[in-house]
Amino acid sequence: MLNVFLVDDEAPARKRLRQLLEPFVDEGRVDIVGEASDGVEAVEKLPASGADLVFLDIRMPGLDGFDVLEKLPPEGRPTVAFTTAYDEYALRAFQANAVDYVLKPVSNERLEETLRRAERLSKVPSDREEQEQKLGKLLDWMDAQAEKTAKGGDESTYVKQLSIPYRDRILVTPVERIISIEISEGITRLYVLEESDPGNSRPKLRQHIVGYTLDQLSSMLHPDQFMRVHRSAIVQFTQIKELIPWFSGRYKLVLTGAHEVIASRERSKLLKERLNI
Amino acid sequence: MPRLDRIVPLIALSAVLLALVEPARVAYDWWEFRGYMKDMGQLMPVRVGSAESFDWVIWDDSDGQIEARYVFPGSPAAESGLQPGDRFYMLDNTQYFSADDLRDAVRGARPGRVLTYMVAREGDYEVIQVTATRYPTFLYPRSGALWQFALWGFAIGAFFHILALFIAAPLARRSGAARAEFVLIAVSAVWIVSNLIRLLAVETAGPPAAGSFYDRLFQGLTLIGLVGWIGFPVLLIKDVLRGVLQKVPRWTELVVMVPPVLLALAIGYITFVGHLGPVTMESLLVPILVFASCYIGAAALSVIVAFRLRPSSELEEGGFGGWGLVGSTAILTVAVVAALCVQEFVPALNQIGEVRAGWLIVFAQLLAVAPVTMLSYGTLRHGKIDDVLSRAFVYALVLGLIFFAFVAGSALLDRYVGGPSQILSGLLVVVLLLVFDRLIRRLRIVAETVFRTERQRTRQLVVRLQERMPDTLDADVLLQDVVAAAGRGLGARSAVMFVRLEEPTPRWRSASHHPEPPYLTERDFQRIWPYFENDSRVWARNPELDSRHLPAELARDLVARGGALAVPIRSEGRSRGLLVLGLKKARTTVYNLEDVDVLRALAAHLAVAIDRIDLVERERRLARETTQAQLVALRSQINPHFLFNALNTILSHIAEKPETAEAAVEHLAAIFRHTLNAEDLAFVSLREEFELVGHYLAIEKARFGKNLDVSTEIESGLEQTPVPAFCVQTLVENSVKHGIERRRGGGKLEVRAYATADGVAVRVTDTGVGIPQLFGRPEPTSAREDFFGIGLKNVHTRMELLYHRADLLLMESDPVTGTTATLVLPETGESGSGQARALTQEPITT
Repeated sequence: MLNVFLVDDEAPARKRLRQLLEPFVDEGRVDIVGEASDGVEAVEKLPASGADLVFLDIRMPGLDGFDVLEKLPPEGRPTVAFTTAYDEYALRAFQANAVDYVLKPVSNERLEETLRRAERLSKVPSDREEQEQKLGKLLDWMDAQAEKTAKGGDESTYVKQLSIPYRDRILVTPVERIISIEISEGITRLYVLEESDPGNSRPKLRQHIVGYTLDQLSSMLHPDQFMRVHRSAIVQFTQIKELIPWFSGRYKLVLTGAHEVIASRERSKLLKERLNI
Repeated sequence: MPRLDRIVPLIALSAVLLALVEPARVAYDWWEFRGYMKDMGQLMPVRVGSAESFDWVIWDDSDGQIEARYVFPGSPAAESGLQPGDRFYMLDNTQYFSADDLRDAVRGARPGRVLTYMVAREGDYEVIQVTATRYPTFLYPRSGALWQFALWGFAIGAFFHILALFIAAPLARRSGAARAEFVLIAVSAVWIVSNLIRLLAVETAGPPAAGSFYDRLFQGLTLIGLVGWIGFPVLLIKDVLRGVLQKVPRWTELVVMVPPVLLALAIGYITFVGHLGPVTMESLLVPILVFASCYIGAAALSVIVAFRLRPSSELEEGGFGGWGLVGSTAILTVAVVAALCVQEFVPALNQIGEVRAGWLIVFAQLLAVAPVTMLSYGTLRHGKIDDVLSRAFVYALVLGLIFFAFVAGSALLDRYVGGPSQILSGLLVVVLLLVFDRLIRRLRIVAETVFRTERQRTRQLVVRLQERMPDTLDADVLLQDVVAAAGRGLGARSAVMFVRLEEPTPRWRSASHHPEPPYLTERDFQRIWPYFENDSRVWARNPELDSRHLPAELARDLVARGGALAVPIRSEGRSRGLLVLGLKKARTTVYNLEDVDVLRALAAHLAVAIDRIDLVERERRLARETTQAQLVALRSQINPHFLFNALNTILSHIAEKPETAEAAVEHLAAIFRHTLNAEDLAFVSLREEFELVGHYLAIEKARFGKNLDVSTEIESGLEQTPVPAFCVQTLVENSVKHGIERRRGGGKLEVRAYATADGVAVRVTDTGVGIPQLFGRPEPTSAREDFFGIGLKNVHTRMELLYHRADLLLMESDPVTGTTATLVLPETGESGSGQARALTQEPITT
């Protein structure tokens, strides 16, 4: 019995998968344990669902398929089958790293093959290990693609404050209050520590969307204070509260306000050096 | 040149002093005479001067007797029967024993008085009565040969003056430098022409009888002639001073005016009163001749000194190319000799006899004009010499032929055909007109072949190039051809040209002929360009052609870089570029007005050709962009992501909601059909565009369900408004793909077409994640932004191409409220719908 989880932002696409899986459910080979309509929901629901196999759509609002893969805890992570209609970039990534993927519209035969592979992986640990490595390589490959890191500026070009458009105003935020900066789907989000009441000790974060790219920001922020830990994230050192080993040599960083960011394998090494671990 | 600055004014001052000697002598005589009159006036009646009289007979001493050497034909004396060879016996019953005494006696008679001569002819005595006339000032009826010589000399002089005026006039209109030369030639022409008219008048109508209207007219002409005769030496010396010195001292300018003003006052007074004490017009001859000689001599001497002290190249540029050392020396010599003769330091005039003295004076009069020629040569060679010469040749030839044909024809008619002569003459005129109407065209062609010069060949070269221009669509080839033709055709050492092409993006192109100076780089060019951009005037190194609108510093810079002539390339009232030529290859030649005309014509043709190339390029670009738009649209429609997602959606609905699946298939089919049908059109109606948008949104709605909230609306009456095909569709697709699809929970999309004050606008609003690059901007942006994807770029470009405006796509975005894109469709005036209709009807073939 294979526990299957469906992640897709389009309801008709999930419905289509359900329709295709129905015969296998009837056979007793498959049980659909849950669905998520976007990446954020998937990261919340998946670990507790006990899924063996997840059909993961690539293009979704908020977190895309790759982000979801990275954010899933390594222990008990289900087998992943990416689904996409057509995405040149993703297809190149899959082909370069021999990762399994399913094209929409999904055909019966293709679906059966994916199910068979997932069944085998759950039984044979060595195959499972190989699969893990492939996914690790896939994420490394994606990091390498984004490796065009901007050169840092000199002392004088580092900013002390950042202006952020917010409704009809511009907020001027000291860089110290920035916990992390993350980009997904071309949109840069700033996670900023709210000014908290002295009575309420629990820190609160607020999200802002800004017009800068990560490359621009990494040249504006002082490298002693901030570090690019991932193709899609910059964090402030002093805000790192915990480092949790993640899969294939990565670390999950827990920041102030329980905000979590994954550091890439390459960056994890640098991070360890910097923090003298 | 401090030495030159001191010497030349000194020369001028000496000339003034010398010129004042003679008037001073005349004044002294007059002063003496006044004293004498005070003492003697009471005792005996003395006739107080008057105009001198003349009997038109030259009496000469011969073997102790006085003999009539020459009797002017047509004069009262000749008509009364006085003949050359007659020996004088008595005048008014008084005997005279020397020709000088007799001349003085005649001179003293009042004009109009009847003189009674008794002469001996072949042993008999004859009594002949001759009415004396006023003496013809400055004419010398002293022998037949002298008279004919003066007549022809002044006629030829007048002809050349008029030619020179025709050449100088167009130059004077455009430049101050040439204006001074023009005035000089004109004043000199006044003298020569009025003298010629007087000579011709006496030749044809005889001497004017004293007191008649003819006489007064004659006097008037004499006065006008004297204005020229006194005027041109002053202008000459002033021109020379200005050319030789950097700055002419003010006092020099004033002092050189003193003698001519004194002489002019005296002449004016004598003309109206008849005499100034004992001073008559004839007695002013010597002061005037001396004054003219001194001034001309001083001018020549100044040039000689200048040639010694200054580099000759500078002087040649200042217009003294025609003087040279030899010429100046010759002028100086003649002037000095003439002055000395006239002032009787060399007692030549009295020694050589009346006739020879006449020859000498006429020679001096004609030679005095020589420096005018030499001074104005530097200017005139910038004029249309060839053109004026060939015209003069044709006119002289044709008028001469007409005259001859008419005279000969009427003589023949008179002789061989009877009948009323007026009618016959009339018929002859008609026939001659018919014949010459045909002949004159042939003659012009002949004349042009006769005068076929370098310039004609240039013009042909240029004309041939102009004919070729429309076939050239490559701007670089065209520019190279033109600059080479201009350079080669005009014999320039080098030429360089800058032209601005507007398409595909505004940029400067340059082409050059011969890599010699002008070394004009684009940076140098940009400095002078503002002065030509909105100005049709040319700049030239020489002041005759220059319009003086370029600041002196930039002009010097241009000269330093080897530029000699700059002609703007203009079309429709604005300059498209500039053609700069270096000096001519042959050292002695310069650019003239004809060259400028040729260049202007060439530049005008080039401007038109460039406009055409731009237009063609623009059309091409439009076609290309439209094709690209179709490709973008096509790709977005068959965008695999969209297509497979659509198919996936359809599949999911087939089992449970077949009607939804059917509808989705129909929408997909409609989109493909629309794309294929609209392929050839630049514009479609708003209704059609909204239909396409509707089909697209229907499929997206099926995919996203309640996550996508859609509303579309066209204000009634706007359905037929033309809109660039696929533009609204592209904006809608962007809103879905980059706005709503990225926001968790989806959003709302609104598409609205509405009328505005100056046209129609289509607004696409989404509540998606927004475009970070546009956050915080106070105003919607209309620029073509760097972050635009291929779709938005294409919309922006096509709007600009189709409406000639770059502000028709407005974008604003906010992280909270989302993005608004507005497409402005300006009032369907000439730029919009005229073109829209034309393009809608005519498919663009690719």
